[in-house]
Amino acid sequence: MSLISVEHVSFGYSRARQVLDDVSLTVRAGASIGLVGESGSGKTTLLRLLLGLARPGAGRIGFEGATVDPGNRSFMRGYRQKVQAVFQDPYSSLDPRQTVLGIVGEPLRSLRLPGPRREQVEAALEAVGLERNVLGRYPHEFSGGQRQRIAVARAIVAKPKLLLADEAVSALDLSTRIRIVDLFRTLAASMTLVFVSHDLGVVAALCEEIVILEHGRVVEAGLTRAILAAPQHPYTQTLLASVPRLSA
Amino acid sequence: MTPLLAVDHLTLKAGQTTLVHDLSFVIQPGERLGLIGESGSGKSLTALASTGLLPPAIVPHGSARLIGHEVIGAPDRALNRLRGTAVAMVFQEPLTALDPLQRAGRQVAEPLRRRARRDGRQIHGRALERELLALFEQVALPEPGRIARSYPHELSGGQRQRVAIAMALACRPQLLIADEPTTALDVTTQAEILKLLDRLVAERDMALLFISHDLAVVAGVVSRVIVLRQGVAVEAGPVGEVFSRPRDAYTSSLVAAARAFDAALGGQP
Repeated sequence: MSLISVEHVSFGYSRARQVLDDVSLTVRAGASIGLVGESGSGKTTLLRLLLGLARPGAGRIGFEGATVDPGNRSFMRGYRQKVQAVFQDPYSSLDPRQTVLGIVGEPLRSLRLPGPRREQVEAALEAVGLERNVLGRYPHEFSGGQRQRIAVARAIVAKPKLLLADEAVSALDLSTRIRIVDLFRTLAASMTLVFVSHDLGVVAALCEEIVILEHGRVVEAGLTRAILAAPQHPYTQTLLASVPRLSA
Repeated sequence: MTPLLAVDHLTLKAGQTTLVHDLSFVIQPGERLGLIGESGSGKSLTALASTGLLPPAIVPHGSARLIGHEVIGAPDRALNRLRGTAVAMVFQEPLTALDPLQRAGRQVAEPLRRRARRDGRQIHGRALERELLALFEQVALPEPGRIARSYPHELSGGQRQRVAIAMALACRPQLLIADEPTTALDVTTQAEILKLLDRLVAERDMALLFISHDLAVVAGVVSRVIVLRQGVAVEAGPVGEVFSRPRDAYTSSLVAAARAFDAALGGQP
């Protein structure tokens, strides 16, 4: 069953230029799907629409059958619990003046979710591979990879159905990146993952399905394995040929 | 033969912290060396020390000689003679490397004119413009005339980096230092810029010091690599050897990670 359906969505920040042009895609519940594109492809804009931070100029975004409507406050409250995000830069996405307990517990507080907060935060930290004793520490005491783990813990603490990741490993060093990709892979087993990235290698390692965006249009979509083995669209072919390989 | 760059027991310190520890390497004319490392490994600082561009808070010990001239401790006046002729640099972010208030053409014309004067030629006006447009053509900029009249913000990321490369080449350096020159670019643009650098370095018989965190990018460009970790060279050797049979545990882990992403992409070239 489809968790998210993007139906003929168009969007432009000004009338002169469409950032997204008639984009349609379906995300099945439990799927892990990669949105791949270069700068200006519209991938971040699409993610903003999925988060309900902007409204499509045309078309519709559906979530479990209902329309995602940023103006509908009661719908958005439930939606925010079900859909959480991890961003690119772990240095700017964590409040430097809050402890890990405050940061990871924030969604529980703002969404007014019931239950013992500390226990839920500890469970989330355990799921991302951090020790309990980090609760009282501040973001500056952690490395980039650990900070990204904290950001992931914050995203999963409210037990969302869908995790949206926007270039969530792009700012990390290679040896850290591979560990955080492993973390996302583990999480993807128990929730739906939409992973936005310019890095085809990371998406190939993580996602079963892939959607290739160019200039606001979907040029190719399908199973990652099939597309990598036989890319149909010329842009996908160029993209794939451009990725530098160690074994070349 | 005098090496273009000879770094000898170079140590860089900021206060009590050692950022680069006892680093030595040599680049001969025409040679291509890669410096690989993750953030904080000291790869960029090594490049800055080699050109005398270190920030004042970082204190160098040891030696770095450009075509036989000591850089460490040398006054700017002495270094200015070496910058450009001996060495020129291309940085990661072309938007900060270019002056936002000057048209692209003017920024590249300046080193072109200065280099000509150093060779005892005076060029200006039409002749200067002709050389400028020829240089823009060499770095494969489309519509060189229009690009020359554009400000950096009017250009795409790839075009800006081509302008920055043209600026470095205008000096006709013997050694080109490229510090993460494609990291800020899209992957298809990166492939174009790497091909361009490869062609220009070969055509102009330059040596290349290529700095990057990306093993696959480095593998395609250089013949020899040094792997840096927290300021220490943990491994060095021919690029094929280091990447196929790494001896150091840290290099092995980097190579394994890079190969994992490679493998996920499948056998497609």
